[in-house]
Amino acid sequence: MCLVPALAPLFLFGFYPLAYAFYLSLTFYNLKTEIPPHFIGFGNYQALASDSVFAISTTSTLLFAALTIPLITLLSLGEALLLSNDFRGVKVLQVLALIPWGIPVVVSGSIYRFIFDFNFGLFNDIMLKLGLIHEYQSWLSMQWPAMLVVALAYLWVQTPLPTLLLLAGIQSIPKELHEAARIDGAKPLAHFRIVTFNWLKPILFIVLVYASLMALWCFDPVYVITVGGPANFTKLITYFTYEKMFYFLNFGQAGATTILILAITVLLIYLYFRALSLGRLRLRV
Amino acid sequence: MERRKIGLYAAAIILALWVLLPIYWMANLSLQSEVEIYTVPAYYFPPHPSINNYWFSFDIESAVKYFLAQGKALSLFIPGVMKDFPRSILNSVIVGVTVMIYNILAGTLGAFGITRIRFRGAMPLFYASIAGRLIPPVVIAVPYYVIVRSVGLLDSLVAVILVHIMFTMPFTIWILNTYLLTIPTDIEDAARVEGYSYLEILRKITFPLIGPAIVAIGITSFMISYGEFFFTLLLTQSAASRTIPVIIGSAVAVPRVTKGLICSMGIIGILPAIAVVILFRRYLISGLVAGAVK
Repeated sequence: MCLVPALAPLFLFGFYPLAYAFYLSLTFYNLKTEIPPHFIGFGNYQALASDSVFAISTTSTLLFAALTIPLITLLSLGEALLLSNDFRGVKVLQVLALIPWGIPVVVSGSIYRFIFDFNFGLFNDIMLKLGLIHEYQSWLSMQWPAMLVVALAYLWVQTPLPTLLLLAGIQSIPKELHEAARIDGAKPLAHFRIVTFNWLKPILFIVLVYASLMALWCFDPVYVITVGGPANFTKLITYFTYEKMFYFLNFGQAGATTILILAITVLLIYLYFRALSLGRLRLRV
Repeated sequence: MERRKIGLYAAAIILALWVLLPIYWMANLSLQSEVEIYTVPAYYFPPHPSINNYWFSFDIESAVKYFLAQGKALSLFIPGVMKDFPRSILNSVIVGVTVMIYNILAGTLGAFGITRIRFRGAMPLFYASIAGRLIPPVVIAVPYYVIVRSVGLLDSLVAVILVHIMFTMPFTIWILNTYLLTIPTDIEDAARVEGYSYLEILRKITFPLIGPAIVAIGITSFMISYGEFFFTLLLTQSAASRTIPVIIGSAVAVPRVTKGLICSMGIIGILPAIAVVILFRRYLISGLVAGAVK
């Protein structure tokens, strides 16, 4: 009984819509046509397979994920290692490092949009003064730069939480482990691999899962910075779905896309689980 | 040893710049007038710092008058949504706080039920709640929109609050659950023998014991709700229910927009977030991490 208040919203607004999305994905449901909704099996998936924008969008999402997942993991690991050192000002730095976590992604996106602005941005001016470019560049209308700016706005907000987790993990390593490694004469790199990395494995798993989910679901910075352009290059899959729904009113194909996102999510989590060989990691109850 | 120290400090400075530079740039723009913002090259410091933009954020009428008086040379555009900014602060706080309180009450009750009252089906329900976190938000967007519209809650804070609760609850349950498992049950068992009911035990014994975790999930759920953009954008259509991210998000893409206003709104919007992070950092670490690490 005591679970009702906690789980009712989850089932009503989580699992029920999920089931509905499955149903949508197998249904022809397009409000821009006169044809009433009807069951078409895998027709929506076939339509997506021949949709060139969908192909671009999928590629972009994979690129974005391949870029941000390692970056979040490595950056947060580096930050955590730095912050676990003892030096003057480290306490202040620990607070500073956490601050972007509280900032709405929309705000972060706006800032980066202004910094990389064509005429009035900071970045162009610095690059020009350093002599790296000869005239102002329109970064946001070039494919890769636009993608990188989106990734930057996203990374800025998404690294603090993994950093916090990893930092706490590093600080909870028992002293005996470090001493044992030292007595055995482990070199710094071996020391890191054997003691720190092994200890952090379960947390790294969580960080990887978190980074992957966030990469696949990334919407806000795209909406604020590039609106999917240039030439659909930053049209990440979530933004693609949003367009399918609210511009093209094609709920069937949008539903099919979301089911594919869900499938990739589950697959990725399974792969991490295997790769880190976390036989003993269980969700404890 | 000296070399190592130099390396450490170099890394520390880079990290500080990485965090502070974007915030600085926003503050910098918010203190400039629009004429200064629309100057090439950009000013690195406000040449004539003024907090006009902050006043204008709360009084768009006079901002409009001010820009009209300046003439058409700038051809600036003030998006209509901006006049809802004062109301959106209130909305953001109402939504965030409601989601937070609901998470604390229902989450504690739920996690207590799963870990302490070992009834049939507790495990599957726990896994179901964790799996809830794996549902891509966009998946439930259409169905949720349809449901909300059919019960007439479109463009209301209730719709936004409900979907935010759905998002935050899996995380809340997971963290509280793991935290509860790190706490010995001796006292609770003793109280049980004394004839206390589960509800009394929860209220008098367990609740105070898991304080750090409760603060941590309270803050986390508030933050997630406070910054959430996608659903709030879909579900809201008027001043009555827009939140801060929606105002900023829909204004920023407008060409020749009044950037100073957006930046001052952004700075106002991130102040509570920064304050919460600084004030409650300790609880965040001890509460969240006890769950994740052990």
